Amino acid sequence: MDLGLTGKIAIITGGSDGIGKAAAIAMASEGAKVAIVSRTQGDLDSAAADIKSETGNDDIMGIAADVTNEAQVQKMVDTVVGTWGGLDILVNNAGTSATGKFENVENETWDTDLGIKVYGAIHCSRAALPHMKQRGGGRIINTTTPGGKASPGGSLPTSLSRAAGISLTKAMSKDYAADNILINTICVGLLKSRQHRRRWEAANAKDSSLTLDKYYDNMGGGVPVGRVGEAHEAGDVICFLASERASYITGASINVDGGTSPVV
Amino acid sequence: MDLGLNNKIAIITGGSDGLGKAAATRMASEGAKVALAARDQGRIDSAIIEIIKASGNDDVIGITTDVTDEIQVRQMVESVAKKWGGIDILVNNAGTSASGKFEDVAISTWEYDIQLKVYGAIYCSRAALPYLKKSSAGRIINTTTWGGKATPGGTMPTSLSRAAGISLTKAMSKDYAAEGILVNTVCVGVIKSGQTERMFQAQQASNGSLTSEEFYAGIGAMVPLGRIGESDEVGDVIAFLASERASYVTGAAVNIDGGQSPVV
Repeated sequence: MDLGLTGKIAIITGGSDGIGKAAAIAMASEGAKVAIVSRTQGDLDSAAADIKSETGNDDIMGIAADVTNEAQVQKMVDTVVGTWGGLDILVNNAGTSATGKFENVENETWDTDLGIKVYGAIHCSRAALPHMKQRGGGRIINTTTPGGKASPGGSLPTSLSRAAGISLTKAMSKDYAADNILINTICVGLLKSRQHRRRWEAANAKDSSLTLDKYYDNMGGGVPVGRVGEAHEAGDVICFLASERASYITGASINVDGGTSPVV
Repeated sequence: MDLGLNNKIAIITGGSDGLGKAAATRMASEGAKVALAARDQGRIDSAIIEIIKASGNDDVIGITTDVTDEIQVRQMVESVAKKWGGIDILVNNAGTSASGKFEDVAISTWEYDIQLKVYGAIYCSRAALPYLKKSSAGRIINTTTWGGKATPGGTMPTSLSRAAGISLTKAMSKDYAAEGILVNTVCVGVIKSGQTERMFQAQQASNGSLTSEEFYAGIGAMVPLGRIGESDEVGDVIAFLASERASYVTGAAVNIDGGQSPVV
């Protein structure tokens, strides 16, 4: 299926690893120009090299920016627009999972979480919108979680920040539909990522018989489909939502969670 | 994007027109074998010719079926499984829109709507499940409406039947995840179809100066995106959900409504 992404210009935050990198690979394979954004230039350089070699597409840029810093975000967006002449797609994907019981979450943990996930998406969207309007349309895809729709215990501050991301998605979809900017979110469940790999490394240091496969098998046992998802299974959905084939979808949230969420 | 649909076997109810036909065309273009189930043999015959011509795929058949009749459904499913050796994908799409205020809906209208949309999906799913369990990538996609999630006044009995379809989707996604069958729904808004064309003709009969463009522009004015959707804008999403690229998506309800729904 031709996704109509050839020549489209995309920014993907949290793009050096996991879902973000997988979305970048999917879009680059379809001929899009992709800027990946994260905090560490070294990670970006190696991810950009991977994406280029996997897709054969050389229009890949890695830009170091902290999405909690509005000035850095503005500069990042200006760099992309200055280099490629516009912006069509923004994927607000930066964020890590932080989960605990209400009283165990320190004030600074709340601040950090809301800073990355909520203000990060707000800063990037504010910087991107003028350019999308200028192009006569655009796409914003926010990564959130099913916990943002149906929050379990012990899931703060992440679920709260994700609920905010879902709210932002719906409100912005109404605000910018007339400008032909389509705004959606994917609610991701358990997916393989560098973050889980680090947790496995810590667990493996205590119990060397715990292999990575066994670690993921244990996690996957709680998922209805019986396994942890691969990053590309979310990346492909993001890529589809960014495409011309999703031209009547806005204000939607799609669970990409192997059936975990109690709600649609 | 390669959807991995080559040689997959699909049944699409309400497949002779509108979004069912659009989904069939996209899946056939991607190499799937597609069976259309609908009531009107004449419409099925002309749809088959159109789909073969548009997709270049000859593996398209039609089976006259009334989905409210369990025996006919079973015969239809058995004949597809026998012809092609199995079933991988079921799209429960048969249904027409009927919407009014509560007291204006006659009991016979309730019964017919629930029979067509709810029992139709139940019969088809029950008949197809034994085959979907044997598939390496079983999929059920139910067509519903966003009114099934957030029900406006004046939308009975359709919204009630669609709420049932969304409930069926979520419960079945949990029941069959362990068997690798992914169950999702698309919540559609206003889409051009044979039904909207007949509505236009009825209105034109009483107002001869009404043009098709004016009629559709009037509908489109209710939609945040400012236009009525095309059937392929839904058909492409159904094909994506049926594909290998949506392998971690189950129990999801995707709005395809140009932003109309108040909820995600």
